Amino acid sequence: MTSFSKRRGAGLEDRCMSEEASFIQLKQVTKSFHKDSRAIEVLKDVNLEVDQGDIFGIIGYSGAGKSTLIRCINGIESLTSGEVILDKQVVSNLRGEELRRFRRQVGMIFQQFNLMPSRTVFGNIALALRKSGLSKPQKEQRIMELLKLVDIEDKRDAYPSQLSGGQKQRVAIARALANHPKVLLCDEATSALDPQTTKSILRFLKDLNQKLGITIVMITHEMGVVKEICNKVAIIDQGVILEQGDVFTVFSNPREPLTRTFLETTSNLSKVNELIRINAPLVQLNEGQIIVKLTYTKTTVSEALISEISRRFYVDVNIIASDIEIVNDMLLGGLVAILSGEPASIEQTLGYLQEKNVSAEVIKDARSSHQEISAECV
Amino acid sequence: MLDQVIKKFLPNVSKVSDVFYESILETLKMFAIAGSISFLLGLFFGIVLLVCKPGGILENKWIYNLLDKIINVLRSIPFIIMIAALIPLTRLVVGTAIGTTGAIFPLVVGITPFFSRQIESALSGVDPGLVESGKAMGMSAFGLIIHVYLKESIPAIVRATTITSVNLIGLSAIVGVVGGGGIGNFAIMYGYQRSQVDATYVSVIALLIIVSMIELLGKRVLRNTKYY
Repeated sequence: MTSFSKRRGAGLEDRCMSEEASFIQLKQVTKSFHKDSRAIEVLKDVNLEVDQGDIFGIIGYSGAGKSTLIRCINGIESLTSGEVILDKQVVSNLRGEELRRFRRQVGMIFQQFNLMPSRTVFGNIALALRKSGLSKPQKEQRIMELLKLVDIEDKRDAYPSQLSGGQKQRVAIARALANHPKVLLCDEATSALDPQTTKSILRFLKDLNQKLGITIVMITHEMGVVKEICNKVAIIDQGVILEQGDVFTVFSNPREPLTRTFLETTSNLSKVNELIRINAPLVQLNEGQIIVKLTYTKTTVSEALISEISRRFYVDVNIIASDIEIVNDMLLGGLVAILSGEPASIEQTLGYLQEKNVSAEVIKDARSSHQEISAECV
Repeated sequence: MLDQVIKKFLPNVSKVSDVFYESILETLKMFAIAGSISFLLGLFFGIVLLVCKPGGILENKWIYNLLDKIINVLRSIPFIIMIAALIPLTRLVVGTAIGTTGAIFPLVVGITPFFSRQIESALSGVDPGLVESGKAMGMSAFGLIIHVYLKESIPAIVRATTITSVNLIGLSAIVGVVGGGGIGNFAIMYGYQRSQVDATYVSVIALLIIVSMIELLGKRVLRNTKYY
């Protein structure tokens, strides 16, 4: 944890130093493909800013344009209009050998790993070092260094088909890092891996980010990935960036419905809605009780909120679901609870919660003065 | 003893056995020379087709369409007619239109379009993801061709070469019809024109053996180029 906060501190300094220009900038990027004489706009006026040391997640459904977006950063996709600037180099202006030299400065890993099947692990990494200008022994030394870094030294002479998915991705990472890149692009890098391997690869990427200070831009459709390691996020849908910013800010205060939808994919709070819909025993209320969904928007959880409510307002709090995660050292999420007590105390409680920056949404109400609103849904 | 068996079963061929051996050598010579030339040309045109194709790494509609059409036209002409049609050109290029020397040029023209297509399809089998990762590594088009396309499709190229070689043996026998020399020529001269059935059968067996050897060799090479 401490090293992580240190890194965040370092990131902050970098941000101050390069206040006028971010490390990676996408300015009004548009991209359209022509198909049967019709132009299809894949990216529409995309603006992104990634700072040095960020782990920047771009999340969206398949077909949202995120693959195209990440390929604009290393110039594999050309732009229809707009500008991509990486470390003061205007990528969209680079041509020929300049562009190829630039690409060696940007590592990329893929969902399907894309290792050359006819080459050994060693050969695959050596391929990335072909134009590095290193001598043969230097190359060999560098490859052994990389294999050690990704912790698969013993697989040096194995062919990709003899490796597991996680090992393949580690080789791919080693290959991507061969030329000491400042940026690592991850194209759904963990989508083909099982949950456990996903976790270890993500942890490894985070380690790299801290140890080497490498900036990581990753696209994914999995909310879990973003929550696990990213410090910034952008939500993309149909070629448009809906919102972007600090992971905690975006997720604690989602402005767009799609952001909320993504949040719900990893949250079990939404399950309560389903329970209410089928009127499950767990959510059946007695007279005077309500079900509230509490969502933390600021880091107030440490304030022993629940006990406070019980003591102050004589309200019983029965927590039926909770989903609180640590994102960027801050608590994110909320819980669903049944509150029972005097109608006046419940009113007071809700007011108090608002004061404490906890959003409280009444999702089922059995107070006598109110209709049971959710009953209509049944 | 063996001599007598040969004389009994091959009454005609046994009298001209040296002509027969000579014809085998001629076939092998045509195969080797025409094969090597078409291998290089086919590889070249196959690569050109691949990279110029729509969506290829050096997309070029004009070159692709032109080459594509030429190959289609050449492939649709029956080989025996092509040989006749090529005679003036053959004379111009190699000086003669008959014998093994005269046969090599039409063989090259006949087999190269087929081989080019085979190479194109072999190279097309390379996973586009590999090409993309090559691009991301900063490879040039030339680098991609050598280190990704060719390197990753060696087994497919070996297979294509085997199929093409067998086809080439077939074509080299057809060349015999128009005085091209080789086993085909022997079969026509003795087996067909003089109705010496044993000459025809011996020719068939000789061709069969050559084809089997090519396939065996192809399999051997394939086994050695396969990785795990």
